[in-house]
Amino acid sequence: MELINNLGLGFTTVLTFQNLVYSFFGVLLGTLIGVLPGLGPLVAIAVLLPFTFVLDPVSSMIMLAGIFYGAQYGGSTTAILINLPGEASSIVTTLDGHEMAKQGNAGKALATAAIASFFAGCVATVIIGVFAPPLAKLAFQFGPAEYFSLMVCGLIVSVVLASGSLIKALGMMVLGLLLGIIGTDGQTGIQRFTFGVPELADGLNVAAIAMGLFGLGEIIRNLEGPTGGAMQVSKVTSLMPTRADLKAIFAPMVRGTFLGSLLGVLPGGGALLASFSAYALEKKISPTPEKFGKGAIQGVAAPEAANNAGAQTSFIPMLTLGIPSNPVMALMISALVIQGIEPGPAVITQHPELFWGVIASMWVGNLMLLVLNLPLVGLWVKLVSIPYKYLFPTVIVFACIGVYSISNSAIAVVTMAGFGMFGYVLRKLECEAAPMILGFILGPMMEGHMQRALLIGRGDPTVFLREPISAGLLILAATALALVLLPSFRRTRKLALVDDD
Amino acid sequence: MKHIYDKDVAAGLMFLVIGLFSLMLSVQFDFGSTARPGPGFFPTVLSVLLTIIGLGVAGISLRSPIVHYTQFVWRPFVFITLGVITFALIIGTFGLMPAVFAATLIASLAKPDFGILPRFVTALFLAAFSAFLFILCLGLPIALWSF
Repeated sequence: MELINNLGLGFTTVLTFQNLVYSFFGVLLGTLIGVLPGLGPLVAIAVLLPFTFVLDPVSSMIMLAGIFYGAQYGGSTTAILINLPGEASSIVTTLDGHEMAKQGNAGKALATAAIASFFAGCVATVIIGVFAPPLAKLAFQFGPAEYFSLMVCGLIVSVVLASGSLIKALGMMVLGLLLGIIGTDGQTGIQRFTFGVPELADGLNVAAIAMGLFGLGEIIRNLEGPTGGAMQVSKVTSLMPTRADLKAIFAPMVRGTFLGSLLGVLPGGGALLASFSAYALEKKISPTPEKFGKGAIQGVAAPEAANNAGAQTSFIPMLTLGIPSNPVMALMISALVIQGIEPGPAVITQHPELFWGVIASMWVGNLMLLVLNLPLVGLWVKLVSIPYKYLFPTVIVFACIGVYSISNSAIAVVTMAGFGMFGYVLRKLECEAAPMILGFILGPMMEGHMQRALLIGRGDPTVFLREPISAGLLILAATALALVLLPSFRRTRKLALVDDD
Repeated sequence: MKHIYDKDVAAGLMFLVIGLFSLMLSVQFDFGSTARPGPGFFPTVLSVLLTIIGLGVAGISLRSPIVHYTQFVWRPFVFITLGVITFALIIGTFGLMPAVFAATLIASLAKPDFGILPRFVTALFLAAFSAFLFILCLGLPIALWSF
């Protein structure tokens, strides 16, 4: 069995003292930042990126992956205890999770979230192990036309999954593609849109953009009104779910895991959409839908399983195609590039210990979360009670130092400040930033592939429709756009994505 | 009467202005042909697309009677940005601790009810803490201070 051999390699990579320590630190730091309100996985990774510079590629990826799902996990802890989702994909968890906490079952809700996440993590690990290698093999046959169409498809899907107005999301995507133009043109070496600033020759720094838009932008918005002091925290009582509880959560957990694994691969709000859909599905098929929103344990298990599974399968496009499916993966890619590894289908064959090590580390990391987090709940609760006025300067300072040390240039810090302002403006105008970041990252790659495809096709634009895979991807993109215009799908999309704040 | 305080009108205008501006920059580069796309090809196509989308967003919202006002709060917007820019200006010449200290002081102005003494204590604490964490523990190659 190749899979077992491969996973074996992964586990021997992870189960060294050094990598276990980094996985542990990643999970711990990730949870720590995830618990803090308004700071999700993206900010966690951007802030902690400098911590990985001193490590080798495998350890640094293991630590970053740990930060990622640790933050995801921390988000649900605050969702349950103080009705404040630490990040977007745990919004749904507040509905029933916090309700359970109010009824005195906070411990049970936390345990359910942990068990569901762990289960989903285990299954998603196997799913990645099974599906990623064939996908990477397929990707080797991709020419420029296929890559271009794949990126078009990815961008369109991210637009369809973005919350709010479709046409604004489309605009944000194009704006992102244009931002990607800034820098030196790959074909001719001409500097475009750089206004003669030498630091812009390499393009804008993705970490600076992400930190500005999501970190600073969010802080500015949080400071709009009075932020208040300590929050109302539910008491944590008995942790263990009963046998009946376990029986009740098993089926929702399995359904959530598979739905999440499927949706996580999609570009854009993979994990976010996964948790919303899983919740909606459970409510629909439940014999007692009226209990949802009033502390139904299934309403915690399903979305928690789904968002964890989705978070993990979102590694698939990054590890096999070198294409990020969300801003977090984009940061992962830049971390890999800093480590001297070019993400793409060759990673599996050229760096098997990295690929399988990261996958095995997800399992180990999830186990650590399960063991660690329940005893540490008290600590996380204390953390939440730190007043926001001490929190926001700390985050700003860490962001500045992080961005400065990634790029070693003050221009990147100024870029971050600029995108912080822009991020606030976008929030005010209800324009979603995710399609823009994806456009920014994919833009330069897309342009290169488009030029090569047209060159091969001698200027005939139908070259994208003549190759079957490429044509299929474009048809998929067109279908996705057409679906949004259907009234019934529109309603569902509105329910799942628009009314989430 | 609708005006630019409407969220969608403002978003449309933003796309429109950025689209036209980048179109102006794009036409300076060789467009080439579909057989040999030049450096101006991709940006020109995108700029035109963004301009059209901008017109669309603004047009659609001008036709609908509902106005979505948005309120812009200046204080955090100004001071958070100034704090970060201060960091960028100081870090290269004066080093980490002065940069963190100054950035924290200015950024803390974003919250009016912070108090003068807590501001200074927070700034001092963060300067010391980040020096300990990033330079002592992680060994980032940034000077602690230099005057």
